[in-house]
Amino acid sequence: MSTEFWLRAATNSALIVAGVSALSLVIAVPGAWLLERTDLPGARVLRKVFTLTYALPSYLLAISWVVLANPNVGWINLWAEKWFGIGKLVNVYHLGGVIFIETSVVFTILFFNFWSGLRQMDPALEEAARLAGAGPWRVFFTITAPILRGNIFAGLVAVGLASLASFGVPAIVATPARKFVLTTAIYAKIQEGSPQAFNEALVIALGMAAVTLGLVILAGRGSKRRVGLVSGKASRAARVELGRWRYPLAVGLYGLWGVLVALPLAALVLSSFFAEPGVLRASNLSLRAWKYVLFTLAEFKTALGNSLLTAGAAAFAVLLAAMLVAIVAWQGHHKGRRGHRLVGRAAEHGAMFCFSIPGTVLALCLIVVLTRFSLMNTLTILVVAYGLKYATLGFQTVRPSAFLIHPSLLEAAQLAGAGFFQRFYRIWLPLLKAPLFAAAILVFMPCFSELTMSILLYGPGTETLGVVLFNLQEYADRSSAAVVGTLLLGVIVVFRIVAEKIRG
Amino acid sequence: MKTARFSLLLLFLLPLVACAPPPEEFWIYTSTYKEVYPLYEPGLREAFPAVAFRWYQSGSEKIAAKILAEEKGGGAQADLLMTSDLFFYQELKKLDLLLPLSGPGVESVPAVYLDPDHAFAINRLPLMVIAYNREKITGDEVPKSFADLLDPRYEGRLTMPSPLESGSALTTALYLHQRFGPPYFEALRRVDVLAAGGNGATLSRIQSGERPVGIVLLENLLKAEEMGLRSVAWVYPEEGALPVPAPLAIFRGTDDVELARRVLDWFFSEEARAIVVKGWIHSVFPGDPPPAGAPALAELELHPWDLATFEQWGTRRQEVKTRFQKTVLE
Repeated sequence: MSTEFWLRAATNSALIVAGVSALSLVIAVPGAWLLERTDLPGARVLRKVFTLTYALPSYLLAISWVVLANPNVGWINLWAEKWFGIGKLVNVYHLGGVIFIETSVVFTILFFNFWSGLRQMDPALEEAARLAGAGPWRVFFTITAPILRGNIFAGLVAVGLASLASFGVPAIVATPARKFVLTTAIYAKIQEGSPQAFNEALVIALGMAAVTLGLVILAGRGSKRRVGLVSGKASRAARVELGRWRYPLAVGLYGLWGVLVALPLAALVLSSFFAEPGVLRASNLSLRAWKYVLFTLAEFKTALGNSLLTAGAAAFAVLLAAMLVAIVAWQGHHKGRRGHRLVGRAAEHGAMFCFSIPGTVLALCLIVVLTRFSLMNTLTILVVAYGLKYATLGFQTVRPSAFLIHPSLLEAAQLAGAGFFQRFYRIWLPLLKAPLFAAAILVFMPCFSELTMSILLYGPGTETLGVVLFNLQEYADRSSAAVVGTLLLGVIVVFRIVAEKIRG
Repeated sequence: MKTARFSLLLLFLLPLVACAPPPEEFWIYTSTYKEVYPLYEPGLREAFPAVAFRWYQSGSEKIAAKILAEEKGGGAQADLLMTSDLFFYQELKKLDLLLPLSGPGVESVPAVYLDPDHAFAINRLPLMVIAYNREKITGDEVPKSFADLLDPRYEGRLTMPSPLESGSALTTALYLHQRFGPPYFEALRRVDVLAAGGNGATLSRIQSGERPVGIVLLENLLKAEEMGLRSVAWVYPEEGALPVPAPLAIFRGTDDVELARRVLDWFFSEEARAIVVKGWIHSVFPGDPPPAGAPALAELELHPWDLATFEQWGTRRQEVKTRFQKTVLE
């Protein structure tokens, strides 16, 4: 009886992974190439805009698409009917809706993977081909793409894993159409509340973890073919001149981003000012939902505090762990200590695995393990979950810089009688300030808006922003959900701008 | 490097210590709306100045799942339960998890609303009615009864809250199942009902016109009307509005039994009863006024119910839930 339900969910998940990967490939690879290798106008701005998109939680877009594209009164459908007489043009409640919304955020993973490859590879190869008379298409398909196929593959695996793990988008737009994916099916089973259903969900979750492990190993093999780092860059590639395609292509890319991201976000902000949810009419404009969220809804303040606290604690814990892992790995690397090297690598691989497995799976495992320590209903369980999930972002940012620190520095300190803690404060910490700051932001941001794990792990008094937003949208009042979404969006944008400013 | 390893371990343990569970508090788990339960706070604080009241608000069924999980993990954190799934209270009573109630407030509850063994007492009677979007549903399209809703013309236009999340939705499902049998669920599926979230989300869908007809709690409609939102009207269905008896109870595991009894009894004080009415719900006390915009209970035609029949139906609570899930939701 249930087997069929899980099989359908697995099929739907597979369809979404395939669809999102294919669509991302079509958008990200040509997009990155246009931005890096051609004279496309406004390329810098577009790149910044994509960076911002990368930081968005995709469920924010799902909330807006429900307003824009629900079959009966979605704004796009109303406009299409009014101007072109076409009824029910689009329907977001569909697996296709999930693929579309998910792609509009996760394609940036592949975009940046491919883009950094383009920047690192030696452009002399492409130039040589061009001098030998090959056109831009031929250069791309015979030189650029084959050289960077490792980057494409790694990016695609990351995109696939992200779409497999996604919970918010399918919960908002696929569940109403009775389409379950693995993550939402697990959530539904847990909502049922019986121990039997929980065990069923756990078995499926462990299966997902196994599949992920397989994919990660495969990806590890594949990305060995990633382009080798050529530091100390060769000459800058000559830009391909787009000629009369320059402006149409730029407009196309801006338009694409407008449809994928700007339009839904505008709809989100606008719908927060509606008295009655989703009714597009001047007389319906009101500040009711804002007043409600800011002044009446006690949970909002609790959740804001909880999200700041847990994301901050997780970021802090990850930074400390990243430092120590980097130091241990450094000892292995520079001093040739085998034990240290192994410990360092084990920690890094473990973190990578926690990052790769779906949040739903990680949360379920934590429930099983941590209920024994009566940690349910505490913020601790959230901090542990966030820390495990995003540790790798910290590890990967800190280690490369740590490896650049020359052993002579530390030897000198040691000879002068500095103990471990003194070396830590006087040498490691100051030299790694910049990567540590970058790592803190990388970890803090996704934790601050986390939903997938929080929805399973939160309890009375430990609601987070993602949880409050999701419950408002799905259970209570959509206008208020739009308010919380707008505030979350504001925080993310401000954070990104501040981060760019400090880094620049 | 021993120090490094040691501090690594220490650092991973640090957040565990930092976020240890807070000291003694009085927990109320409730499905009462987020804008209504804070109204109880000032009165409670005045009556029990030494107690720190903490609230957990969610759908009745989500709370039920949470409580069962907490009980399994070594005892519920909740001290007082105030939701709208009577069947769950009857189940808790059978599991011997509820403390018998006493106090002048509880004693004054009309007998039909009081469990014979005082395991729980009902203080409010939310009603499920049929609502529709005034603009999208007009003339003879306005449904009159629950039976009407199965008409093919409502295909893709019907909504209700989810019985897996909301207690009033589960109670509704049990009424409909009892009255019309399993074919009603199959017919709901045929008209492609969207059963999701709570009554708030359901009203959102009716207001926006995304699903212009729905089964929803009267209190949400009264509240919208009082706020000047006029896009939705409602009818009291021919079968009678469905009463969703909403009880209160306290758990055996509570730390201070006497305190818990007194807090519960406070919810039957005149002050607390006035808040029930202010929250747009009918109080069970005959002398209390009806909520603004609604007729008194005595003037309304209600679907018949009583504690004994609910106890009979309740034995099939899980079965009906699962049937609804398989038939309508999957």
